[in-house]
Amino acid sequence: MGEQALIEGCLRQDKRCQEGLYKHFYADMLRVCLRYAKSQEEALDILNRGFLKVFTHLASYNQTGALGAWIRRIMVNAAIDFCREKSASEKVVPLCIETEDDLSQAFIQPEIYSRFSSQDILLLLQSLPTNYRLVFTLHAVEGYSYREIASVMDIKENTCRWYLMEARKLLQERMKQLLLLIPQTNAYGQAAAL
Amino acid sequence: MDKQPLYSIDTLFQQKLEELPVDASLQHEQWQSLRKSMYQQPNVFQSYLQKPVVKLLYMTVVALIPFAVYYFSHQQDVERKASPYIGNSVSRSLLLLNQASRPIPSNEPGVQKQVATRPPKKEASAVTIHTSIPDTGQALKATGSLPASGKDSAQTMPLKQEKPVVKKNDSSYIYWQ
Repeated sequence: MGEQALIEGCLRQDKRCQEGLYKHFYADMLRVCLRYAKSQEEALDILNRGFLKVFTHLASYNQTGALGAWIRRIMVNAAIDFCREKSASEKVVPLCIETEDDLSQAFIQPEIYSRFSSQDILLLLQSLPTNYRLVFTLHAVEGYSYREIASVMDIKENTCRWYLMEARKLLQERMKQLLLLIPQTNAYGQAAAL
Repeated sequence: MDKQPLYSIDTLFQQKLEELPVDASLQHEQWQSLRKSMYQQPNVFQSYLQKPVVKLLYMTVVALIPFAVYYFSHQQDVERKASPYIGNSVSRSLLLLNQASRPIPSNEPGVQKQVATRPPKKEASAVTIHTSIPDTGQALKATGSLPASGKDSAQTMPLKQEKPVVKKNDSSYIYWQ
């Protein structure tokens, strides 16, 4: 069943079409939600909230872009709303916002790059505080600008930059700690002999 | 020897997260819970209460309650104060009205002053009768009562028998008549 048929069926409140649309985009959207959530349960919660908005506002989809991109945008917004609710209880006050903009990134050797699996990267991301994770994911992964992130999160741009800087610092430290735990492998994927 | 590119943290995370494998075992269960929340029937009564007209109505009722309490409590005070004027005690209510009234100062001669006056003394009328009509018999006929000077004596002593009036033929008697 094509996307157009799915859309028309969903607009007619056809449950089979709704289920088809849900299962078609389930994996991709769950992958998106996992970046913003602290756990699998939170990611599933965000996913269902996002799909509820998709089915509610499907009539407003004007078919200018891909349906997947439109649904992904809704998922990101649902994740941001969820994180904002969560971050209300997490009082993280930026210590110094007006310091020099030290957003230089560390560069990683390819061999180091290969030592990290996707699950390791996800765990590193989920270990960050909510606001740090949100800003880092929106900027580094989704490609949002500082102004867009500031308007979405209702914070100042300087605060956004500070969050990003602190997030990178934390990730670097934790990656170094993780590298000590992950065994080094040779080109054949075999663990190095001790 | 080709130089291998260096990866920034941003690039590392971006690429690794795109390749993240996802567990689809919970897909059906998640769809069932989503469908339940989508097609859940709302409570009819709660949806009725959410209407703006109904909200306005019960907010108005709630706002009027203090005024109603004040009105009815004040009404009871008025009735309590009015109780002396109602019922069988007409004279008592008249007394209260008289006590409540105040003298109205006025310079007009025609205005009757509402002043509590003493009843006229009976002694004055008895004295005048005594000087004008010396004969006690005539005084009795005129007033129907004993003169003041003889009042006490009449109470203690029996009535004296009056001498019958004797007509005299001299001229002086005529004048006195």
